[in-house]
Amino acid sequence: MIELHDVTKEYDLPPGQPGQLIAADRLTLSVADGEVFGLVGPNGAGKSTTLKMICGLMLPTSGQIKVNGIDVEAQPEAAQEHIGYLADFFNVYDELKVWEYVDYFARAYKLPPEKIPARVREVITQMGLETKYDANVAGLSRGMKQRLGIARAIVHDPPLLVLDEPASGLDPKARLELKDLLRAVHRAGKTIFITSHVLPDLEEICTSLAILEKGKLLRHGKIADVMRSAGQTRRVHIRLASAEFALETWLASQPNVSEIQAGPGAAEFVFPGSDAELAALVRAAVLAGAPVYSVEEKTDSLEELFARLSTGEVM
Amino acid sequence: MLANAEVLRNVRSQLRPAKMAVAAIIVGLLTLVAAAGLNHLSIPAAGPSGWGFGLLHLLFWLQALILAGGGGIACVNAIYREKDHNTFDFQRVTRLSPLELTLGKLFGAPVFTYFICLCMLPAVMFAAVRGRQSSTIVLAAYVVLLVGAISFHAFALLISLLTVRGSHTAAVIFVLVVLGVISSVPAGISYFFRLGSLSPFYAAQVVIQRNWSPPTFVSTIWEESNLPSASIADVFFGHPVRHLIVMLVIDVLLGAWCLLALARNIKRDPTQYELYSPLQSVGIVAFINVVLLGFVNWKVNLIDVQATLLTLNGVILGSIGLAQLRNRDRTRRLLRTQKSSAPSWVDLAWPAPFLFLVAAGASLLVSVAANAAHDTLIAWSTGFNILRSLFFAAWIVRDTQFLQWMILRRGKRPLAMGVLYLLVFYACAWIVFTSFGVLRSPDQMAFTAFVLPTPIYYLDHAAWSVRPAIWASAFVAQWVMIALCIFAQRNTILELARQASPEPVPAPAD
Repeated sequence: MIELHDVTKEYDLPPGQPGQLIAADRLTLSVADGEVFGLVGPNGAGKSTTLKMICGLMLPTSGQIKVNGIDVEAQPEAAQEHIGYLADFFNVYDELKVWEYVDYFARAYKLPPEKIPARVREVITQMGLETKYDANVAGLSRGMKQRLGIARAIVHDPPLLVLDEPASGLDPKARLELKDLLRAVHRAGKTIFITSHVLPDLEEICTSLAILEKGKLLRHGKIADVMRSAGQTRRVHIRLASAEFALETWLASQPNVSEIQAGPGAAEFVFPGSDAELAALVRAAVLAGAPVYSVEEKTDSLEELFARLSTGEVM
Repeated sequence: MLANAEVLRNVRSQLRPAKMAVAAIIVGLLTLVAAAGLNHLSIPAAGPSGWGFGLLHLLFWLQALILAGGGGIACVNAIYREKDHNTFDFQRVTRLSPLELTLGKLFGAPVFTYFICLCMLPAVMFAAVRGRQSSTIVLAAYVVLLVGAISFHAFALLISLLTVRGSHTAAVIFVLVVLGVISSVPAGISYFFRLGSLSPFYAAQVVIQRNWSPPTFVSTIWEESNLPSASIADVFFGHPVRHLIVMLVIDVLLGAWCLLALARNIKRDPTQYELYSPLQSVGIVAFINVVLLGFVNWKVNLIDVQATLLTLNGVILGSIGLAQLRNRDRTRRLLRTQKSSAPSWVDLAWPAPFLFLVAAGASLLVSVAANAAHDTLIAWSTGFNILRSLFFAAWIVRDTQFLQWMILRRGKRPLAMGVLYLLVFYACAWIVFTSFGVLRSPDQMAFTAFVLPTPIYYLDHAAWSVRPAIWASAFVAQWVMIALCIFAQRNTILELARQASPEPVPAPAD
């Protein structure tokens, strides 16, 4: 659905600072149809710039971008037909009514006139704004305006949704609703390219992701592959029913166990062995008299992985 | 028109029933007050056709003010506000073609001012009946009003496209000043040009003419000063033509040039704006010169006419030069996307080669026309004529090249700073030369040619013979300054070329 080939975008740093900012540094990646692709990175990493270049709103300094096989620079309007775009900070036309707002974009995307009223109602209902159908946009809450923005972006039924920080400024309830909405859109067969600072949310809904820092791609691919490629090791947490057993001492005598962090009746350690070896270790502990209450495998969250990558720990 | 989504959006947002009702009531009341006031005027004050005629004139003047002034401000706001509110990108990603989006804004943004004019229509009809005015003349006045206003709106919309954050007020003031300037040109023939007003306010002149008498050709500018403006003909290459037609044709063409620039750029990345391609720039310079040469009055002092034409060409070429400047983003793109590793000499010296050819061509065109029109009684030298043209071209290239160097420098608003430096430079030079009386002394005049465009106005055989070496040195100095600007620009471009990341970064494995 999206192909970036050697895409570079150079900016000047603010006056007084020598050199230039490379918002995108020879980015090469592809996003397959039907994926929910998350682009994560700190502020100024080049996420919004990348999104704008994909939408044809900004020209790359060099490189080529294709959406659905169409060169965005050569045929921007043809490519934009396949894209629904939502910016990070945006306003809506406050003086219009909700249906008029969606109707405007339906016309601007040149939907057949006879189908517009039904499509407008359908999209407004899909976004849960049917009670506000005839209300003024000015009176909507922030979350509702965000929904209206998504309604605008999907009104022409594009195969690709490009969303820049759609959850920013939303309260927790609106964020949950947004996640459900995006899942529904994904189930409908759309490809979603999304940036967000709320990494746990992204982790829940994304199938693939890319980590961007200072314009460079640190990692990209399926979430599990990215985790694996970051050299993640298995951390195991064991809890005992009582603290009488000397768990730390026992663990220290076992092979493949390292980085033990023990507390009263519990311990966490790194165990690079296989699942069968872990099962054997637990069985041995029980046979040694340890009252094992629970065994839990812990993995890095996306946030932790991002924190490790962006500080250069894994490079 | 309502099939255009952008027009429909503007209609829906600006023409709510309550707002329309209030506007209609206010316009109705004000018209009644105006009519009542005019009704009480004495017969001489109201004119031979009574107060109905006066009301008609007033109503058209007001409509021109509302449409051109109010509509112009609405157009200046149209694109700027969208950019300011971060809604413009959403319009840019729709399937509206650039021309559709442009036309949508052109007719949509000022839709409320059209409505106010519509509210005045009953009063106009009443005044026309009361003043016994012909319906065709009223219709013609409306055509003039609409064509003039739409062309002006296209210009205002172009300014809106180019307005950056923080300069909105300046843009509004600039557009209103331009409206004031084009509207203050006397409706009759001006001193240098046999061409009437091109502003929508001309509608107020048209609507008070009594009949469609054939255009009156008058041989000198002074004889016609007392004639009613509407009966005066423009003179195009010696042939009298009705001003109404001329005004409509020129306004439509000027509006079309503005629309071309808008349609070329409205959906582009703002850092990559290029108002006209080089070929289109040549076209607009040629068009304006045809208008200038066609309507110029060669009967006034030939030297003055040439100087005036070159001055106007200076404004046009300066604007075209600005449109051809390449900022750092455009230059970077050019450097990164071109096939060869090193930038070409044209890129390093841009826009000097292009602008010199166009400026020299335009100034030589003026010279050729002046040569063809010159009176044997007037001292005339083809050689000096050409030298003035070359001085003119060098002066245009020098200043534009300086601005090109400035715009390539890092900094906040480098182009604005460059223009400011130029203004300060000219102001200081003028003050110094005036203080020492250099501009009044034929003996010292040649020294001003190093910095000011005085050769365009003062260089003739007599002036040359006083200080030939200084004039020649000043001419050479222009080219030295151009070369210096190009050298500085070349260094900046080469520095930009070096800043690319040297090695491709291998993409991490999927």
